Amino acid sequence: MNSLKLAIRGVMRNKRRSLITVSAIAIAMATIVVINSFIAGTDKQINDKAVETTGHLQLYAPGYYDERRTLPTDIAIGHLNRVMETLRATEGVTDVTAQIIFGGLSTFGGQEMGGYFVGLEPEAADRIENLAGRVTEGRYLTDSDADCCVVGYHMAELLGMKLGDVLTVVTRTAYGALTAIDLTIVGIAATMNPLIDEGGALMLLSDAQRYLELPDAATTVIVNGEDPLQSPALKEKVLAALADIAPPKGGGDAAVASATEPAAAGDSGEPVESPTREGFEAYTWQELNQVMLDMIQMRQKMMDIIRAIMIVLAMAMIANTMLTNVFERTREIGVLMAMGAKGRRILTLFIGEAAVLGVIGSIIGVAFGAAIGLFLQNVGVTIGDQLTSVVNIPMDNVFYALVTPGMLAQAFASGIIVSVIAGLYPAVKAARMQPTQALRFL
Amino acid sequence: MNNLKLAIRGVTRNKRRTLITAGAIALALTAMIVMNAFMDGSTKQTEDKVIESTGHVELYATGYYDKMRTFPTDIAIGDLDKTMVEIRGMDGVTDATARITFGGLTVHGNDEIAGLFMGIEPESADRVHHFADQVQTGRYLTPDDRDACNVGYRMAELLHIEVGDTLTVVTQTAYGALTAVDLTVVGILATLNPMIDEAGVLLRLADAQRHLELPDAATSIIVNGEDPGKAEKLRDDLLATLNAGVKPEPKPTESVAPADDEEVPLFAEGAPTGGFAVPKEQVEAPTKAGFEGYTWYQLNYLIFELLDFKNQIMDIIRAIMVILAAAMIVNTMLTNVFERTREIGVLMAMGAKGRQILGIFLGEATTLGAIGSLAGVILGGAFGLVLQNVGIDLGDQFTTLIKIPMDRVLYALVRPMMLINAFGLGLFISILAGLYPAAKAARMQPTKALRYN
Repeated sequence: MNSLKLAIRGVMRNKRRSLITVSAIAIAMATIVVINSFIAGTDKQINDKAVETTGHLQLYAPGYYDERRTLPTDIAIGHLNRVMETLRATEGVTDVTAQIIFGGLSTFGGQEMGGYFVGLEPEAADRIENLAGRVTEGRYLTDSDADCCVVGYHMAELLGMKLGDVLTVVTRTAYGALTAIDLTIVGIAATMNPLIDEGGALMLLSDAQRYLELPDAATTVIVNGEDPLQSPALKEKVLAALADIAPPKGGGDAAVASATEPAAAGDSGEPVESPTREGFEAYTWQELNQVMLDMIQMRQKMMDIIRAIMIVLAMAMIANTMLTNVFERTREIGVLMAMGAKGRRILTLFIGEAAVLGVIGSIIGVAFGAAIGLFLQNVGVTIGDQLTSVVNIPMDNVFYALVTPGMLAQAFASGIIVSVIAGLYPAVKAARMQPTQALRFL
Repeated sequence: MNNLKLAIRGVTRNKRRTLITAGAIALALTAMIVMNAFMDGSTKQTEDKVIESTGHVELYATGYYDKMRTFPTDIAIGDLDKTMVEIRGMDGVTDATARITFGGLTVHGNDEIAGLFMGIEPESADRVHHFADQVQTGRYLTPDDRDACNVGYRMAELLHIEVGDTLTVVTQTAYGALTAVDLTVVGILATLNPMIDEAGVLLRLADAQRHLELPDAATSIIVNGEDPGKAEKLRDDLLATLNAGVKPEPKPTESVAPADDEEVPLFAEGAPTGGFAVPKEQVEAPTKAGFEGYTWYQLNYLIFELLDFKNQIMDIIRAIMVILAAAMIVNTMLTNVFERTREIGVLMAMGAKGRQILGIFLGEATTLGAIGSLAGVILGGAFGLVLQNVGIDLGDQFTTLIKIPMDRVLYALVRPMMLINAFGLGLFISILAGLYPAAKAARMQPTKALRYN
């Protein structure tokens, strides 16, 4: 109690010095809060966007993942209806949707572009990927929109597409034959997924199945659970539930496969192998976005270094101020000691003073930082529309900060801890003084 | 002279305080220099790589640039041989190479991906883009490699392409007809340009001309001069010369050469056909009269905008560090003045003018700043040099996230000017921060100062 009073008196004694010290701590803490809130905000945005674009979990036929960047259609999941039923009945699964993703050429009015095409189930895909809200012109697909499509806005701009125009997609069926598909454009979307925005089109899963000769099949099944962070557990559950559908590779699977599969070879006369494969592999959104999450971590490391430098500068400030205070009050310390004050009493006195400096600086810094952070949380920082097209990451072009109470509390606490640590050496120096020498000090 | 001595004595009087203050300045400067060196290094690296992959100036037929991202082949430069001779003969041109860039589908075995195809003149393209040095396996194209190609290494990995394999390219001719071309892979390239590495196929210009029905034509001409910094002048010179010669009369380059876009000639479906789909309304000649030119900076302005954005953020962080260091100096100098109040009184009583007192304390702040800045510059320079030689490896995967020609290892770049600037800044800030305490000392009343306890 008494110590606190003395500490405050010590701080007030040289107001100007205290003010400068406190504002240095405040600037450092405010910077840290702003940096933290900005990083938290952008991370959350990027994570949310990643979850939105990939879903919590993606299922493929075995071998698809390694080849996924070529968008293969001949490594597909068969028995789709049965798979979907099983998944919907699995505990912890909140939503499921199947897609056929394939590559090809978008040709329009004598121009062509490499394209990324998604055959999807409109309603379920919208629930997971929030696609309907991204349509900027025209409308989103409905189940009855056979031979229709929604195209990415960049491509629409580039190729001069309008609603009602017909886009010709040149691609290959799952059996490798070249084919061309005419699709009427009913909508234009800005999905923030660069693959779709810059050369993609969304169409019905049933159309994709028909044109690519993949009846009752899909290349990807997207599964959502309650909580994206629980996706590894969801993956285990889902794979276990599907174990019954995928016959073990054990005995004569080829015979079983073709017998149980009405879809496969159908009318293609040649002895080609079926594009559907037994079994499943599953990847969580974290696994699918590993590189991006790595990049976020690298950025955090860089920011850690900057934060550390700020803290060291603030600490130097406190140490310097406290050393000066101790030095100035050498005679007083001598008097206190002569009057019977123990070393520990002197120690707490000066540590208390450093702590008071730290508390005031941290309060101001956190308040300032929170104010700037909240401002950036509401207003956001816009980076040019074009800049996002340089980066292959699904993201918004407006970044918002995110201020959480935990972050502020942490910054506040670290400000005080750092102040106390910086004050330790000067305080120890004061406590170790010899009363006789201190009294004689000029 | 005398002032300097006094200043040094003042600084050494409380060594610990001086050490902490100078240390803080040094730390702030070190951080700044390392940050600067990194920014400069990565900017320079990006710039070099961008210039290598774009060339100094690119020339197109009028109207190409706006459509560039769809790789149109029907907005081509005609009369190519004559144009090339003219360009090569111009002052300030060190090299020129023509190219047909087109899009399409690359098919290999059961896999296909959308591709970027470039018909190049192997020799001159190598002089501009250094392709031959970037061959990973196999060999670079030669002018005699009919229907051969080089492919990007990422794409080769994805599609399981090996040297000796045959690729099928599905694309449209300049008249819009679908066509398929078989090319034999003779080499695999690692160019660090993501467009090429991930989907690029290089073939000879002559093959591209033949398959796309663009005889004696190209979609772009890349021109290099002595100095990439003077690309703007080169562009203006090129355009002045070429457009003066070409524009007035539309050249009868092709058999079909309608003067203007408006006139729809008799050819209802006269375009050459092939494949199975013939898009409509494609009858005008694919070559257009007139040229437009863009410098490497214009063609990559997004990249430089992104770098600017990064620079702005770093500027803010730098400013905050400078403010913290300045606060440190103000505090230390105020304490020094405060501590020596009586001395100041004595000096004044002995006849020292306010200006002299000001000089002493400013000198002290300067000395502090000089020591801190020197230490900071040395430390920062050393750090920067280490990072200049060792570099930071971003990992192979990172470059796939960004569509910028970029090395996976980032190196810092320490320039002497940068160190001098940092030193100057440190000194300047120190003096600025010392001004207020020094002025305070100079304005003291000798009588009051002497009586100060």
